[in-house]
Amino acid sequence: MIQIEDISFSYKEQESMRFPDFSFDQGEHALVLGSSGCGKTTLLHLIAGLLSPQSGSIRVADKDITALNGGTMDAFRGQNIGVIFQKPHFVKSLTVVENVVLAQSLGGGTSSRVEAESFLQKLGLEDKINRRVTDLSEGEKQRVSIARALVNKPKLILADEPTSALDDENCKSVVQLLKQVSDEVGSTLLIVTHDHRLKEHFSKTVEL
Amino acid sequence: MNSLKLSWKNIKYRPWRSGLAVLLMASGLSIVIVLILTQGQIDEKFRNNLGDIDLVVGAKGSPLQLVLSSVYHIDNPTGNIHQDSCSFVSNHPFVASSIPICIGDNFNTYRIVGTSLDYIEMYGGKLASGKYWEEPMQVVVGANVFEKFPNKLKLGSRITGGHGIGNDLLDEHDHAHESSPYTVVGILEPTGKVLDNLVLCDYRSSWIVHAGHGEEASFDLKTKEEVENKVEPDSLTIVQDTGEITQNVQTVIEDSAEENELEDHGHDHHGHDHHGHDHHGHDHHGHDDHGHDHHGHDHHGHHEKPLNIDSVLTTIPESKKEITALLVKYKNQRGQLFIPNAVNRNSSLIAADPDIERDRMLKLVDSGIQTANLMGYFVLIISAISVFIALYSSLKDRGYEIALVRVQGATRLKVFGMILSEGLLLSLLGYIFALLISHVGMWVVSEILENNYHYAFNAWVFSRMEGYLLVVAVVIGLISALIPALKAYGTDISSTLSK
Repeated sequence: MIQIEDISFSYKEQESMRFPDFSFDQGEHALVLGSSGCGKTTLLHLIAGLLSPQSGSIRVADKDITALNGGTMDAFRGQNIGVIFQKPHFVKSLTVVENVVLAQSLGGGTSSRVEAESFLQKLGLEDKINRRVTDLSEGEKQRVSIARALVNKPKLILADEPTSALDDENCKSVVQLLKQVSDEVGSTLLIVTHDHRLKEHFSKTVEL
Repeated sequence: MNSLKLSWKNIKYRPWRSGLAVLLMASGLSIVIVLILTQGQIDEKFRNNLGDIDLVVGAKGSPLQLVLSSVYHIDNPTGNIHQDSCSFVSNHPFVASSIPICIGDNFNTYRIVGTSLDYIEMYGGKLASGKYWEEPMQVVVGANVFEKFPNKLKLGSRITGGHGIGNDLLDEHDHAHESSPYTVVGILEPTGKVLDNLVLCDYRSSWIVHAGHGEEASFDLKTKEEVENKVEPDSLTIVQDTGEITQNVQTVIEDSAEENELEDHGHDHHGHDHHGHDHHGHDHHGHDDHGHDHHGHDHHGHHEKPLNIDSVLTTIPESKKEITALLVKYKNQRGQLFIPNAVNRNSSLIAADPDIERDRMLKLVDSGIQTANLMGYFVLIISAISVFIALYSSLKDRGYEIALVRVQGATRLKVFGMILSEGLLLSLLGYIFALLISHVGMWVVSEILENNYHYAFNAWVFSRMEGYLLVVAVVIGLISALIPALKAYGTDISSTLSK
């Protein structure tokens, strides 16, 4: 489902980075571990199509995304890839549920407030639906960003250090939620992190 | 959620910044709209009300003031002229028609204009009810005036004029000509012209009204002095000894009262006393009496046809037969060559060409409007800058949001359009507020003008230019949003998210 072969990347005037090859099937959960500054986020951006590799190929959902350009890549990403960031960011002018609805419509599907609300309920956020995102705690924000990433039922979920800002308890519940919801949706889950607390939850890991 | 809704939410999320941009846009646009509307209506009013007048002859003074006062009924008159001093104009072979105008009195701030029936005809006035006047002291009421005082101005009601017009209006109770009431005989249909705001009567009415008041007869000091300087020693005594005239008038009143076999002699004698002895002291008792009669609508016999008009007219000395202006229509082109010169040779008269004066005034008004217009456009430029700043600075703390939206599948073009539509929404909001502000503002100003000058603007007409201004607003919104939108378009998602 996801297949990475021989990719390298370099920022302007910097030494080029190389990444190990790996591949996962649909519905698998995996961890990409690495210390700070080793290119974890770069790898995630490459897979999400936010950056283009110098060489090599990245296949997501049987498509070579390095061949996709501009608008096609944006549309592909919207439909097939959900991204969760270390620090959850939202469109501040929108409420919790509106942020999820926005993700639905940007993903190219039909947006349904009811569906968005039921997703938030599933993540235990039923009483936060109409709150401003700025009013939420970090743990709640991360759960909303999970809802936002998964509401379009993407084939691949990429999470960039989703737990590093959270305490142990929140960390555990977020990981469990991630695994549970991606199982329900049937997505492949790829977490890029340096947080060794997560190791115990995943059988498959890639070390950078 | 479409991008228009998202833009709207973003505008609402930053109410102060957006509000300032909208306010500036609305201010600039409403200045321009108000100017467009007023200019159009001023032009129209001043063209409409000119009627068919080639020349205005009046007392020496500013020709513009003469035209404003005698044609448009805005300014105060330049003074009065003797009827015979301009009779050579009326009788001139090149003159087709001449209409006398007497102004100086008001009915509840509406001008009472003594003139001839030709005046009504010139403005295309038609009777809505009643008849035209057949003799002095009968009035025909313009449509707007009637609308304001439908109860006081019913056919057959008696009204009294107050002395003074416009801003120089004197206290009605001190100077009302209550001894000489007018009778409403006709009401005019609306014409959309100055006629609607006038109370019209035979021009000789004012002679009769002022005959009773002696020294208040003259409209202002200047003319009074002129009168005193010019009249022969014989008539000078009459002017100074005003009591004598009034006694003459009063005798006639008595005579006619007796002729008509009216009772109320007590009142007559009372009136006699009042005018004969206490004139300079302004017998307030007498005034009060009449005032109460009037307001109580208790018309005693005293008020019923106390005057035999013709006999009163014969008692008025030639020196008192004054008019304010003469509206002249030439018979042919040659009139234009000879008559103004002939008039201006007379040291006490001036001839004003209303076309020239109107154009001169409109030019003045225009240059004022141009200046204000420049100000409006200047504010519009500022508003464009404020829209730009509102969007550009909001983008600074929204860089991450833009990247986020892109990650979720929005194309570059989509975020470009999102910012552009924010600019568009701001300018549209500004436009809507501008329409509101300008038309409500016009309405307020129009009420003030209506009260002070009886010149009303229509605040609820919409000019085609307002449609063009919508385009201007949209263009301003788009242009000022262009740079922020391009910035959003060029956002590097990866580096923004890595920050």
